[in-house]
Amino acid sequence: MAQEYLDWNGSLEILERAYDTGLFVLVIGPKGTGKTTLVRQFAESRRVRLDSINFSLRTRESHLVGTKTLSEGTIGFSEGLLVRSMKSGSMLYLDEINAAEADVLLRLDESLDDRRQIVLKESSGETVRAENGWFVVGTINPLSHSGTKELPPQLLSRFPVRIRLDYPPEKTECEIVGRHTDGDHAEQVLQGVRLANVLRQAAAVEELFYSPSMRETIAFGKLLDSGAEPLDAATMVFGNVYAQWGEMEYRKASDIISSMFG
Amino acid sequence: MTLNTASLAEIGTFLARRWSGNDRMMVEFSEKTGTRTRLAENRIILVPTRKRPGGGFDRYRQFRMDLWYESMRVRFCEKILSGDHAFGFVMNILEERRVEALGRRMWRGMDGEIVFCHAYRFLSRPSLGSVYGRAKILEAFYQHFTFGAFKGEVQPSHFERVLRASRLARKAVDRALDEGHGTSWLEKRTGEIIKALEIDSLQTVPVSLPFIREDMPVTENDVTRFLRVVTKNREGDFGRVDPEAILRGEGVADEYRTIVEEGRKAEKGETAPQIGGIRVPPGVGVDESSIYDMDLINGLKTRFREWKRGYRETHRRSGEEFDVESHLDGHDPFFTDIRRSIKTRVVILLDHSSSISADAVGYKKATIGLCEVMAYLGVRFAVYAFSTQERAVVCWLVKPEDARWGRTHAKRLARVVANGSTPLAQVYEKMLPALQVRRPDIFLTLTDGEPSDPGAVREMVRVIRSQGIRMVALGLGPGISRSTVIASNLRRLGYERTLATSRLQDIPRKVLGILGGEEGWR
Repeated sequence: MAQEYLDWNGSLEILERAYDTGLFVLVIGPKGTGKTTLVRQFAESRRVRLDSINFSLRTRESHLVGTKTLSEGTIGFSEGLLVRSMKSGSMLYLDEINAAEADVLLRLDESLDDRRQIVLKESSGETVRAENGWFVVGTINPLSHSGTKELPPQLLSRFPVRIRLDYPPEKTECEIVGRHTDGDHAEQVLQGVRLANVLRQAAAVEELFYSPSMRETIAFGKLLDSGAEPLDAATMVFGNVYAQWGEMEYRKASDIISSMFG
Repeated sequence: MTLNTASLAEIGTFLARRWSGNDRMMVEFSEKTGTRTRLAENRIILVPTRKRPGGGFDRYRQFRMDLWYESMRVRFCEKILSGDHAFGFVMNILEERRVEALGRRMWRGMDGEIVFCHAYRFLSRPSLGSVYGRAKILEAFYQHFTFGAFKGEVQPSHFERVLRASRLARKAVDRALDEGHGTSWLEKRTGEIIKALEIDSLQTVPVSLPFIREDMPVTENDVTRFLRVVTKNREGDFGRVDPEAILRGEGVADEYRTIVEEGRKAEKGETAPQIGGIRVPPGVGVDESSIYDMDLINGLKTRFREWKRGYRETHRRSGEEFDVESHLDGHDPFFTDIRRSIKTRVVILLDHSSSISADAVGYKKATIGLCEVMAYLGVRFAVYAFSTQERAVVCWLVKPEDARWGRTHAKRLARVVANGSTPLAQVYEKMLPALQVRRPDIFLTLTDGEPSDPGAVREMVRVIRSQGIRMVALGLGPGISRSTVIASNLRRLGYERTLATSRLQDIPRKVLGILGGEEGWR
């Protein structure tokens, strides 16, 4: 079920401006703050096709550019997502770019410069130029997230418009959770969001090892929908995760949960 | 089961910071004063748990609730007056009720514990028959307003006054809550209550009044009796509650067991290395956040993440193109994935002589950064420091090897005051028994000066090296030339490896470089 994005900090407007002026956008924010939903909503509103790729250490150049194929004795070339998107002039969504390897980023860098073109040296060496209207949005998680690294400055400069997307204010987050759930649990959801904020604050000063995202507050709301008691739902979603760092860490989080839910 | 003060201070500080929303709050214990909060200093001072009535679990629950009330004061009060005169005493009572109501709006799981805490507080109050003089009416007012009942007989001439003042106080708190008024507004209403009680606002409140007698024998029946009184009289606030369930306190029982267990482990881990006159700085009552440099720590973690993964990324705009096929032909195996870990066990000794005092905060920040990264990399390490106290050199144990690095250790480091000369040989001598037992792979000394006894140091370095421990020294100097001179002097003392730095923030990188190099030698 597609959910409408709640634009609480004017991000859609920034995307509109960037799209109209042909400037690529980088969305920076911790996990689970609605980066993907924002981009998906924008693509829908502009009625443009959205091609997405989620970067990780396993993402290879061939996934982006393409790879040679051998079919019935004939050598062909299967285009990667980047090339297909450039040719069709779609909107390309590069999720978590700073999780990718350097060689992958270099090929990306080539296509994002002002010429908007890439040389297919893997194939016949032809130059692919992007269609008019080709638009790229990238996202990066803050460096404190595991598996992330600093984006090379030259690549950073390819995205001159930057949107900082943090966790929304309490009321807004409740509204967002409300859009994903159908039960009438406004009070309990507010408690869940408050709990998430307390845990995020503790993680920000390194007193806890993990910071819950909006996915977790939404999951909390969904568990309430399923009939779970607030204390049980909070323990399942917010509390038990801390057990992996030892008993004391788990107890710290549990104490906060019991203070809020009894 | 007993409660370890350091463990209590650690969990207490965590809870106080979360409950109050103030990341700088500190929790400490004092036998000299009752529970109080110093807002300007970000300090909550609590009565030690052993001074509280009841069994271990009940004492822990009282500690936890006192902490919650003080945290709510931090969150919602603009100021806290001293309770040693009637005006401050009454105002604090009103404020307590206001912050309790405000706190319960967010911390909705606390109701049972609040009721339990009230039962113990009521139980601990003196009987009105044993309070003499003008303090009697104040005590009667406190008991009636907070618990809805009196302990003992109230004087007939006081009864009407207390009821009227209690009604006024209730009305004032309700209005403050409904209309969103704060401390200043309630302070203005306090005069009316004092007037209703017909007492002088500057009347002294006897110090003994709010104290709890720790030697008071408490049976379960006593607690149940007071619990029933409180649940009945405060039903309007807390609704119907089950006294039996409150008494069991199941929501807090697991937490209590964990704290006792962690405290036991901490005590066990820290008694062994104290041989040879090594002392442990108190890990409570000090703000460690001032020596935490989060930018430095995060920067180091990011940098050493690459080291841990075993490969480094470089970005180049020129050079030969990498040909995968010819690489595959020429390399067998063509790819080796090495997950690096530091298995070296290391002991770090920090010089805290007076010459470091000018840069003490920077020095401690760099050391904390180093410890955080070593903990992140999974290195087994112990941290010692030395300074002079009362004309004698003291060797401090900041973190034992077996303990997991935490805020308590940072607090201990914050406690060490840089003072005195650099009697390294004497310090090594104090540490020798612990070193002989533990046998670390590397013993690293961080010092900013020349030792006061070079000949003796040379001898001690030789003795420690003969135990199979690699002796390494890192010299800290104010400039490149000075730090180089220090390092070359250290080399003459027989250390196997000496390094120098003039920038404090380079300490973590240098030390980890040594450890990385050590792994390479293996």
